[in-house]
Amino acid sequence: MAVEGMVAVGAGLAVGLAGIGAGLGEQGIGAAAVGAMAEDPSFFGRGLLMTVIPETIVIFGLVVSFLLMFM
Amino acid sequence: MLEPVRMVKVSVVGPKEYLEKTSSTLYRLNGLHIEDYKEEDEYFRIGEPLERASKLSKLLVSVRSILSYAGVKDGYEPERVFSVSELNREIDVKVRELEEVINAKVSRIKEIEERLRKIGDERRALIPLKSLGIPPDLLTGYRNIEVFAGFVKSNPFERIVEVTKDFELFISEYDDEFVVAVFVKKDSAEDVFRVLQEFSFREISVPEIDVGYDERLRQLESEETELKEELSGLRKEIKRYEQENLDLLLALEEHLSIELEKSELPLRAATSKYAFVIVGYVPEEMFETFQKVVNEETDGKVVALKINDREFNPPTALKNPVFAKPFELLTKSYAVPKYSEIDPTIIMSVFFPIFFGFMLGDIGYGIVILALGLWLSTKFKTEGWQALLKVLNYSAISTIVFGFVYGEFFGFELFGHKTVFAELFGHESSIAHMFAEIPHVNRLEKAPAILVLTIAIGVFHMAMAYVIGIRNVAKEHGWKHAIEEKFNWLMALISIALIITGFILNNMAGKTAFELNYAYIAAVPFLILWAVLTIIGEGPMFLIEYLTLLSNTISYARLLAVGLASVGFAVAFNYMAFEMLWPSGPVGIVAAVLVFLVGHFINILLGILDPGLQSLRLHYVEFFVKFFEGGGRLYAPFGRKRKYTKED
Repeated sequence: MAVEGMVAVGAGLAVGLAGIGAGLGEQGIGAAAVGAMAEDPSFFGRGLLMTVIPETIVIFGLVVSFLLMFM
Repeated sequence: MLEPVRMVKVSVVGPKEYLEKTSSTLYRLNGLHIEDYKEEDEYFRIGEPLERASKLSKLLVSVRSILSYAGVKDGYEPERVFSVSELNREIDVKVRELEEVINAKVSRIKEIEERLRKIGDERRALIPLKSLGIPPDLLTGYRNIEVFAGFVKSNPFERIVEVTKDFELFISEYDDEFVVAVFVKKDSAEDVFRVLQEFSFREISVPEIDVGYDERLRQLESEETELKEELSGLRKEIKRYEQENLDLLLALEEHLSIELEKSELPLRAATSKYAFVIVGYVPEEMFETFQKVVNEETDGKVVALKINDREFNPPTALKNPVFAKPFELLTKSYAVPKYSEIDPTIIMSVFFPIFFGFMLGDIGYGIVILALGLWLSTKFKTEGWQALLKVLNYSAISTIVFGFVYGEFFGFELFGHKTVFAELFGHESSIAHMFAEIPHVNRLEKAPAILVLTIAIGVFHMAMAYVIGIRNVAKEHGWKHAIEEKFNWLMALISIALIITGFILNNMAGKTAFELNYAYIAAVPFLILWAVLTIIGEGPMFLIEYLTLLSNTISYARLLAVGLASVGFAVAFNYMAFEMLWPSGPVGIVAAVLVFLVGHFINILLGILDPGLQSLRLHYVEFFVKFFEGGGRLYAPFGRKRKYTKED
């Protein structure tokens, strides 16, 4: 396979696997955050904050894929 | 603007006879945030509510219970506003009148509901008994014989025989169980009952009736229909009556709760035998009027004084210009700023829409969302919804602006050489030429450059956060702490910015990533400064936090990422609709329109949700965390704005 092809596959894996990882991380946090919000609705802000923290991983994946594809 | 409203601590002191008058004055001024008096001592005790309080609360309870049937919509505007004097004059009569009309109906409703329940019970008893085929009058009224009628799980005949021979048993199947009627002599009734219990016997209480089952069931049926009709009639009457008197009811409710609050003021004050003291906070700018009005309205007997207390813990009243006001909702759902902190609302009100538009950036989507937002804001009138929809509208406008920058319209390229116009009218047409010249930034082509831009935005955004952080910490704990806790991280941020710059420079020059260049060298002093300050202030363990800051910086790349995802969707739907389906005949055209509409509908929903959440997240996680502690108490002055009543 050509190098460009491998690079594209690598870029896809970087985003995809990071996404799976973030999803696994968020499932527990999200459930707990919704539970906490049911007890006290003013937890919304902090709950959202906690829930989206693992998402940064996907952004890392995305940046890596960008570096692979464009640079 | 950036700070919450400045407050002064005041004490209002006067003779006890003037407490009632003072209460009215304070309520009307609607400016004093009262600190409840808690510690009782030898001279000062918590006051007793005014005498009329108990009567008021009784009246209020009846008005509220009547009102609870009416169901008032949010944002209801009264047609008539009642004056306080009018209400005061007639309150007893009015409430009694309302009560009499409503209570008569309500008690009748309760009666009917009770009767309906009884009818249901009787029917539930009659139907199974009917299946036994024994006339109802034969099931009761014996002197020496006991009758057990009820449900059992299986046939108890064999087991009863073991206890007594003198019995008669009728049984029939009913649902998954059996209905039995067992006739036994009173002597052996107890033993038989015990046996029946083994078969999980549930007794049916036999109704005393003197007609046959079918006849009785018919009677019940017709009674039930009659009652139900009466019930719905009564409910309608109550509803109508309340609609007619809604303004009055709401006015009464408002008036009574205001009067009740006023008469309960002594519970929050310190009172001695002859005097009272109320302590609280008043916005600095209204203090002078406050002082003057209190003094004048009480014939100079009550005075309000500014006090310099060691315990100075004022509530937070957010103060922002009109355009930033809706964003207070987002700030508050994170935390209420402390009195000493910077209120970040106004910064958020600028950056939130910019981030939103940066991500979504499509003229078509912006227009659709703006229309949706404007339409919804005529439907949802509550304060929270109005604020949220205003935030949405600002974001939509920003989306349209960025749409022009990107030259995108529902995912189609509007400006440049490969536009829809070129496709429709030919590449050489004048329209295609006209739109080709319009300056714009194609997001898909310029992605790497935009990536760098997003990081730069992130660095700027977070630098602002650290500057505010320095100010907050300096104000609360002094400059030493500010430099060791916040300034060092500002240095770290600058070093990160320089390192990323160095990386990009190397990349553009085609060198290897970490070859030494000026930017890398420039980062070194900042790194050293950061490391030294951090080790002194927070300890060497905190050096690891550098990675967190790095990840925060890169996190701003989502500004590009979310946008690209949205463009990707839009382009894909357009391709499916107009390149794949449209050319394949009439059916294809219908399918193309469907795909286009449904696709973009989904994408717009995602386009509201995702950029909204991501923009919020950038503020909550990357921005607020660096300076915003929260934990303030919201300013809640004694008093309220009247809506259904007016003072004379």
